[in-house]
Amino acid sequence: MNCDHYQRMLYLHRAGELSEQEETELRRHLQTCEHCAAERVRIETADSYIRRLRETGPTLRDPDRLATSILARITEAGRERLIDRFLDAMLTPVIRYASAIFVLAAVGSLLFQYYSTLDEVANLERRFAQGSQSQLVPGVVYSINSSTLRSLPDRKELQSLSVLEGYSESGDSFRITQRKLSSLVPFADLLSPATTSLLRTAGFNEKQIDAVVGFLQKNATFSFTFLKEGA
Amino acid sequence: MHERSDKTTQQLVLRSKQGDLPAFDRLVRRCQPYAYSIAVRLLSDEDEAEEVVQESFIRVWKHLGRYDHQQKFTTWLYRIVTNLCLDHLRAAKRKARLFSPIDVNDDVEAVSDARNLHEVQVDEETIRIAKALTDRLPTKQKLVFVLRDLEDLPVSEVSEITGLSVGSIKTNLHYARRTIRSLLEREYNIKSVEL
Repeated sequence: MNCDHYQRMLYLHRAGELSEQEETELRRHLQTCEHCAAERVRIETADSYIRRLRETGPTLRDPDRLATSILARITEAGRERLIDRFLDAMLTPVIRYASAIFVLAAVGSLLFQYYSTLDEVANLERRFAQGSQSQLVPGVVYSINSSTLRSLPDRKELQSLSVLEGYSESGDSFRITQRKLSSLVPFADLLSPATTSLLRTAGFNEKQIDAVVGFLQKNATFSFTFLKEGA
Repeated sequence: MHERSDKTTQQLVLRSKQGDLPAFDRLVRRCQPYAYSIAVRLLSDEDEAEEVVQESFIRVWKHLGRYDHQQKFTTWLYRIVTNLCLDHLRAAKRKARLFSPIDVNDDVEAVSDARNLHEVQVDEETIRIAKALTDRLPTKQKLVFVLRDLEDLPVSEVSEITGLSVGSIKTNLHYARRTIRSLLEREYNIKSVEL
């Protein structure tokens, strides 16, 4: 055998790396081969340095911190595992089908309520359409703002206008409300021809106009706002 | 670890397997220096090594049910550690290939400048040299060299940890030691110096 074979053996010098037979062969060869014997010395020198590297092992900077952090991560992972278990349980067939049925029932119920509510609203609209007009139309409100009567708004004078009712006062104005148009005869007279002409222009016939004017006289409510002097 | 401490380790493993967290805490504190030593020698980076140690113990905790009591616990642990280290090394290699055309062994050059081993007194320097030397080895040689020569594990255990055959381990050890010796002679001038 050549020296390469023995030199390979020289590198495998630590316990358990060579068989007894290989050890004997190598020992015999080294007795007769100066080159390999010299090589052995060099390898042993290097090996003694490797031993020193082995003995100077790296040490942890902060073992306590590392152990604590490992345990913290495990505890955290344990919590996640509980959540996983819960989710796994949720995925079992019984719970999965029960959830699907529940969701379907909820959606069905919502759809039923939605359509039945729409139906009820439609019925209500139909009932209103078939009922009398007075039930459908809310009270009509007219508002007049006047700045020409600035000198008039003296509280007592205004209150003395017996035909008016509902007096209120805010920062820069007085407000008087008259609930029924019929109680304000001059205004009602003025209103009638103007309204009649307007309605005629809009294409209403005489009967419809009388009905509208009559309705307004019966239901319309006026309110007057007088600005205070200097406002 | 000697036989008595092995027994204690096995007891802690058994208790940990039953969900005893304080026992696992003791197991971690007992074994983490060895796991860290392997990791830092393989990765040559303290932060990465700590990360690997953490990840290894988390895996141990998760998979304790799969642990076979016929095997030494530390062998199982070291296998997890080395596998994670190999993953890190592969990822680092990929990253270096993708992002850096420059040789990643910058610190090897720095150590080479030191030359004179007689001046090397401090442990830190020795560790730095070990890192510089092992970083020059191909991954498989580095793995067997670290486990066998630096961690002092028997060949049979190195085989169990790495999954390599005894023959393959010896071949890789032979090449690793030859490279290390050559580096020590060429770059640190140790041919016949007294250590």
